[in-house]
Amino acid sequence: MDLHPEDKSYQKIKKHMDDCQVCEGAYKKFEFKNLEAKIHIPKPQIDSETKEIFENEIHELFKTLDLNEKALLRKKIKSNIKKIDVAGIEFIKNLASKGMIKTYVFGAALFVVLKQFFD
Amino acid sequence: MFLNKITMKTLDLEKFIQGLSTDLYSFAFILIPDDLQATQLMIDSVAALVIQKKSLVDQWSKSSADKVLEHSEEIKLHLYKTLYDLSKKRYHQLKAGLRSIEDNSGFFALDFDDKAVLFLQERSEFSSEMIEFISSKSKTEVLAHLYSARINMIEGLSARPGLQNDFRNHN
Repeated sequence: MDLHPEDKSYQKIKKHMDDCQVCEGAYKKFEFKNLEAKIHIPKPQIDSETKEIFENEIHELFKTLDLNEKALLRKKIKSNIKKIDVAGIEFIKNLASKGMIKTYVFGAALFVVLKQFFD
Repeated sequence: MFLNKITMKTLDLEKFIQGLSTDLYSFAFILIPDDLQATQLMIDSVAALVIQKKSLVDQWSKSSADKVLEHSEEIKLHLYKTLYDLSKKRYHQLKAGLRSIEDNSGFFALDFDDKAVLFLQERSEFSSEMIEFISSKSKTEVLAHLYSARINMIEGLSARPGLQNDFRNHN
């Protein structure tokens, strides 16, 4: 009854049912009783008040989540600005480092030598 | 602008979940036959799903309105699964209070899993694979629960005085 028609077990049972009248009769009875019993399987309906409560609660839940999402986004933006800030300070510090001063002196000396050579 | 965009997409998902209230309530009520408990179960299931499956919810809420429809089946399935899992835990705590409803024979007298599987098979549009996913059971287990539920339903209803004559007439 609950097997898919393409299922192997379904095909086996069906084949047997076609040949065996006793089993077919018993199955038909069971199927009929089941159809009757099916009426007694309820599908409870939600009333308008409960529906409204559910919708309001879900709205509140999503509102809170959305606020969290915005808060997370703000935090992320702040941390990224901080990273850029730190990188800028590092860059300025590097410009005034010993290694860079040596490079400036070397560049200036090279400029003087080359200027004299081309003059 | 960017923040507004996020709100809009989340709103689609919110509306979609709100629209599932009728189906979710039916399932929640047959699992825990109490109006207040069923309502609370629905709300808690959505909250639990949003927290437990955050990456999935982010994926759903960040897709456009059309994509929310594409994900609708997936969202529904995960919601039913969360609801089923939560109700299973709560059912054991609330069992004593539900005895008056379950003492009546018929559908509500069925075993918890039998009742859930039979309801999903007969009163929802889920395929057998989906029922397996919701109940976290194998195909054989789902079939066994279905068979047990059907037999118990027939036996329970046959035992009811009003229905005895109807059943006798068919035998």
